[in-house]
Amino acid sequence: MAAIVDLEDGWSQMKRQGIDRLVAILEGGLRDSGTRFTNVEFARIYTVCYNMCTQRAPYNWSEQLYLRHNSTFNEYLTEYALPALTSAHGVHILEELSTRWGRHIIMNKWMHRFFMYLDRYHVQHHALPSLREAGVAAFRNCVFVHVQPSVTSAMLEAIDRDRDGDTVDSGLLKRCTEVYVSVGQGSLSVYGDTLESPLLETSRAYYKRKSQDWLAALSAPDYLAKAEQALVSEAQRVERFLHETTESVLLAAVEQELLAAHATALLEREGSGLAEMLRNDRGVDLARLFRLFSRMESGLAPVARGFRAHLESLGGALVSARQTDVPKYPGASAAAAASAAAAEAASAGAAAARPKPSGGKSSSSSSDPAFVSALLELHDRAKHMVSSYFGGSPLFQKALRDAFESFVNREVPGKPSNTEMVASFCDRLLRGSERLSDTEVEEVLERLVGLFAFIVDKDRFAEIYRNQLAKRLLNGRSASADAERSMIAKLKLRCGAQYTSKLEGMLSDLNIGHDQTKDYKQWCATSGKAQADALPCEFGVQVLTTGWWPTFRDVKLAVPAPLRACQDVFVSYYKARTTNRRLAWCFSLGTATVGAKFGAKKYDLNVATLQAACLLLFNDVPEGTTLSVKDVCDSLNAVEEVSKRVLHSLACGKHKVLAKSPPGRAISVSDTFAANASFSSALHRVRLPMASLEESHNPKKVQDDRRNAIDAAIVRTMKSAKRLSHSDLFASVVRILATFRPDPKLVKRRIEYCIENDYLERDEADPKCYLYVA
Amino acid sequence: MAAAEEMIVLVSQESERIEVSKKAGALSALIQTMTEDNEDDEEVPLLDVKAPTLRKIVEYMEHYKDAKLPEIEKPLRSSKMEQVVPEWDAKFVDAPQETLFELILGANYMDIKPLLDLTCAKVASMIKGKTPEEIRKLFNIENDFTPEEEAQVRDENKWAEET
Repeated sequence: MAAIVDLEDGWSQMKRQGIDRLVAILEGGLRDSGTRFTNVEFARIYTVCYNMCTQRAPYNWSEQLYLRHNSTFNEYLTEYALPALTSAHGVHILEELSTRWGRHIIMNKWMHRFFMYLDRYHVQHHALPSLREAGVAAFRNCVFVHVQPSVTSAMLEAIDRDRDGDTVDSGLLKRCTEVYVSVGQGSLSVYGDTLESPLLETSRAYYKRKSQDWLAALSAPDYLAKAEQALVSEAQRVERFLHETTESVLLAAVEQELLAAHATALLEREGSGLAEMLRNDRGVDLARLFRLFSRMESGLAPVARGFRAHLESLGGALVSARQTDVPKYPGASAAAAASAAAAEAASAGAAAARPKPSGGKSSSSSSDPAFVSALLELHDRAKHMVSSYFGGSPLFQKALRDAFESFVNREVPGKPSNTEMVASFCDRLLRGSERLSDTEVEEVLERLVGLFAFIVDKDRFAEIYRNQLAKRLLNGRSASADAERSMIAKLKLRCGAQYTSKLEGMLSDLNIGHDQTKDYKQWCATSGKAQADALPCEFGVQVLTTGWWPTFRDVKLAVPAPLRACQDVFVSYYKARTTNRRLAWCFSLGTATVGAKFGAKKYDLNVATLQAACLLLFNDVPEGTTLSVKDVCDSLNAVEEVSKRVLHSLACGKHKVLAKSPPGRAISVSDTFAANASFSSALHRVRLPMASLEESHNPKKVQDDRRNAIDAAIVRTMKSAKRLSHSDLFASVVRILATFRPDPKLVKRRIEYCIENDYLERDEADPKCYLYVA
Repeated sequence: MAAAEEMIVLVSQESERIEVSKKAGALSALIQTMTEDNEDDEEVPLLDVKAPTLRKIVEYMEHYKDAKLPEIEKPLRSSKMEQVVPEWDAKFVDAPQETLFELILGANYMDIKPLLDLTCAKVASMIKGKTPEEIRKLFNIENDFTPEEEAQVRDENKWAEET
């Protein structure tokens, strides 16, 4: 064992060989070739320290060495580093701090090496700060706390200069930031309290000033562009020379000053605010507005409100334009509508609602394609805005939905409802009136379904659609079976199978009918040959399933003999094929081709079943005699109103195959009729159109269906709940009814009806509650 | 040993040069410190370690330069080292007391924690199950307690003997 090392002897070796040289190296500006210790030099110092710390008590100098390690730092820093820093000002203090911290790191490294053995036992046994920690703490206490205020203000000054575009030494600022972080020894509290918080203060002040300048000089979009730029550069600034945790708080502070503080002023800015951006379709500006406002908590709500108001004003204008239309002058009204809408279009941007000229057709008719087209285009436009400017945000989707629901469901007094307009547009499309290719039709249908989604009275739409579909199918006016199926599939997707079951039933009736017609022809050629051959004409029947189809008007008719014969043959065929089925004849439907001879010329008249029956009557009328309205009514066994309408179509239309006496445009009871011998037409086939006996739809039926649906919802709810208050019951009914929004008064009446009929009773204890009667 | 392996030269107390691979040397925190930013392939002086001990330590470091160092379970399960540590380790510390103590000091000086653990475990295993008198005899320790002092120490540490 080597001789015991005395404290002062050992220490003086360490100081001379290690510490004094280290200080000389540091203060010599590190230029010295011996900027580091050789292994031999180092090993000597380490061994002295090791020996001093491994000697048995009372010669163990660990504690003394640990204290001297720390005081070495204190002395060095107080003697050299602090004066250098306190005499530097402005940006120089930053440079000095960077230099001094750099030296401290080197010193700490070597001091740690020299005293390494202390870290192993002495520090651990006494739960002391490690050598390196003690070194950093010394720097903090002897230097940092004294100069920090000056350093911080120099930093903040430099950062504001950087904001103003001056060149600053990013590397230097970053090194200074590191000092703030490092002296925290793993906690960011020093950095946070002495650099970040003051920085937030000055940043707020800086941007408060800027925002005032910008507000005074710039339009809203330009202001926002500046603000976005500022946010980007602040994020970069953090990356360049601040701690990463500062980014979120700094940006929040800047957002507060630049955006939140002026949100309302910016949105409502006269001449360049949100409304103006929307009107002028400033896509880039709107997208930026969205990006910036989405950073703020509930910042988007007012933007979405503005968007909704914008759509409502455009959509509302379209709906209102219908009201101001003057149907008497169709040309003028179309032009007025076009110019009104064009004004809208111009202000809503190039691609916005562009009405098609309605070709002079009155806009008050239930099939105004221009109106629906304009709605479709507005919807497309709005969807485009939501997806490309507003990031598909749910908030904006809701704004769009709310806006469209508000004006699509706004009725125009004295005009067909918007629901009817949309349904009729579907009808036009599916009848092929728009002359579009299959894919175009498909695309427009898809867009129409988008519009349909906003309609509250979906049940009314269904009723209108069903009537129109029936007409298309029965009159062979449907342009494409595929398109029909596709549209029904779309409605089904939206509203469920129940919603479209009748529509699908109608289509399937036609498919079955197609097979049945073949089968019937086959039958006519074989088993029914004898009967069929005896018939005076060709004859076909379309069998419809009751319930799927709209209720057709039950027209009574004494069927003329030739037709009666045809009917009988089909009945016997049908009875042979089926059992337990009742055939009810629908004379208001169907068509016939009647051969007629006027003078020497023969014509084929395309007419409805009722017209054909009426024409046949005139076969039996001797020349020179006439038939009165009453005669016709009696012979056909039809009501006067029907007879009049049939006679009107034959005697007062474009082709007058009957001569009326006295002549005139209207039918009166006293008029008499005869075949018009002088009828002539250039065409061989002549179509004689007749006004339809059916309404476009039956509003009463919609009302009845609603009553039933409400009753069902009431009973269903009460059956499971047993006891409910009025408001809860009403809420439940509204929830169940998907296809329309029930009128509260109506629901109340239906509840009373249910009470009268003993489905429910009032709770005696609480008159606001109802009980279910089992 | 691969020919291309980077070697460092250790210098013992008597200035004897002993080579060790850099990788093996890294087991010693002291060697690690002296070689971490050594540009000139300086020798590594180990002023407190004698050549025979250093050779023995180098043998240990080379053996464990790639292998996973075993953790020694404490308290020792047995006084037989073969049951506590791998066979190689047990053999390694199966040495005269003098050598063993030199190894402990060397490991401490060079800051080789696993070797320090191993050698200390060996000493512990030698003590395990022995009476103070046997231990004094084993390590040639003079009893410098007065009988009163000894009684007091025994009383204070009763808990240790209860098992």
